[in-house]
Amino acid sequence: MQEILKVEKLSFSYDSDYELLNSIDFTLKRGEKVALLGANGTGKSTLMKLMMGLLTPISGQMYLFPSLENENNESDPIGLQNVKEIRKQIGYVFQNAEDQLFCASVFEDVAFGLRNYRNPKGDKLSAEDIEGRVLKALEEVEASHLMDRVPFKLSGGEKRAVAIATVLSMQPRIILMDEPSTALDPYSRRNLIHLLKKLSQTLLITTHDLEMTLEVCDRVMVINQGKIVAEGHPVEILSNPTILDQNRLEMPYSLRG
Amino acid sequence: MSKLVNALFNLREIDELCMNENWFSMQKPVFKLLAVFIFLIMVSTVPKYGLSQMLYFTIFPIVILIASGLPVKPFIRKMVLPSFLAIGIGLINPFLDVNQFYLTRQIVISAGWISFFTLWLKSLVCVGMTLLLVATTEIDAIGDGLLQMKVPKLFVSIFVMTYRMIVVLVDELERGLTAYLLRSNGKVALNFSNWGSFVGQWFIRTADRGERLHHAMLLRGFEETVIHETKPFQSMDVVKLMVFILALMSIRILL
Ligand SMILES: Nc1ncnc2c1ncn2[C@@H]1O[C@H](COP(=O)(O)OP(=O)(O)OP(=O)(O)O)[C@@H](O)[C@H]1O
Ligand SMILES: [Mg+2]
Repeated sequence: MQEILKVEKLSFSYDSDYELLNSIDFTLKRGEKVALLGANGTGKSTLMKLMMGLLTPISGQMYLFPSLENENNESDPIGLQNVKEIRKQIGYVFQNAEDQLFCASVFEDVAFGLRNYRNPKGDKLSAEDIEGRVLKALEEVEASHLMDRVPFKLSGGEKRAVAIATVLSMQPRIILMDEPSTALDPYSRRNLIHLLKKLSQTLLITTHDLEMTLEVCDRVMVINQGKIVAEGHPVEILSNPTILDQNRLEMPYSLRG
Repeated sequence: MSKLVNALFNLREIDELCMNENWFSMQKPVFKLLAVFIFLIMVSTVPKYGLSQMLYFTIFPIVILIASGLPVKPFIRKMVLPSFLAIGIGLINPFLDVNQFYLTRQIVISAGWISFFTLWLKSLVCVGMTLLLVATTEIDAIGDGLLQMKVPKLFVSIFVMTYRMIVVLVDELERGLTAYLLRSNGKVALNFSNWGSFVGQWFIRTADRGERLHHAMLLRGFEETVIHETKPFQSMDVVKLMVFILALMSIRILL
């Protein structure tokens, strides 16, 4: 499989005397579904914000490799300085869905990004295209019935579904999801798992839901003290007692014999 | 306290009203903006004793409110506070201005009362029209309208952002208060000694959340400008606007 994204020696700190992320390296391959695990406060959300250009690293770089059949026939990788292109190609579902919604209706919220979208020639999407994509995205997260509601007044789980739809509607090549399964009831969580399995995009998911990790992901990375300390197949990592112990993890029930 | 805040700025309720399709909300945002703008200018130039003109102007928001099919009760509730404020401001007039004013040849009252009522109606009518505009036009549409009127983009995006920030501000205030009251041993109001830290926290949380919302907007292609499809202003709109202006002018000049 071909690389789609590469993070190289990325370092970051919120205050100068403590380096939260210390020279992080990893790659994502096309279509791969990767889980980023780690204890609370190890910097998973921070890493995602860096990747979206919402925070600026102290040092290091990220490369996003263009698709083979891209419209401009470009082959140079895109760096973090090209924030606009990064944000077009990578979607990010916030840890707190509430922060992601800001319009007067669910429909408008999902449509917001589409209305701002321009293809390389500078054309907007037509109103029909926008409506079609909004409806499809809402359907995928089973939230079509919420279309006319006010996002502020939705339940936590409903907000999460809509937040995911806002990202899906943009059809990004890579999706970063920050703890997508928290606060979901078992049925909605099951839906989410189905959706994640079905998506063809490259996925990077931070989560404490290890059963979901086993079901959805092809690979696991564990972050601790600013570094990726373990990496491998989910079953292999999640059944290794030393790794589990050092990273405040617990063996999922389905792996206990 | 929380109820007062709600009644005052329940912008979410207003946001919800925007979603009701009705006759007034279907008008183009630029048309509505221009119409309300002109209306406000006309009203504010009504002279001090122009009570009869003001009575005619008062008809406009009432007719729009009824014709638009918006729920009347929430509207009236929102008007209560501004009307008291306006009373407070205008009430010195009757005492300062003791000229005689002949209503008819027999009935004489202090001119101060006339100017008081004129001022009071002026503020009510202005607040009412603005509320109607906000309640029937989504904030983005108002932004579009401003852009079409050639207001600079930077100003428009600040305006739109501010509006969203107010929503967040109120929301955080509500949450903070709820969290405080749940742990305040049954007291129903905020203790004086807690005010400082409470207000500080409120601002920090609001700024924080505002920043995250701004991030969310940036991630979805928001570039400090509001971009929407806009329906162009057509000759029909010009005609409607002309009729409206003519009606306003005739009240101002003929009466
Ligand atoms: N804006 C900020 N300013 C200062 N410190 C911050 C800020 N945001 C996060 N931190 C700190 O950075 C550390 C990592 O935070 P981050 O949110 O990235 O953790 P996380 O791995 O996502 O944790 P969780 O699993 O709880 O979501 C925490 O110790 C947090 O207190
Ligand atoms: Mg996090």
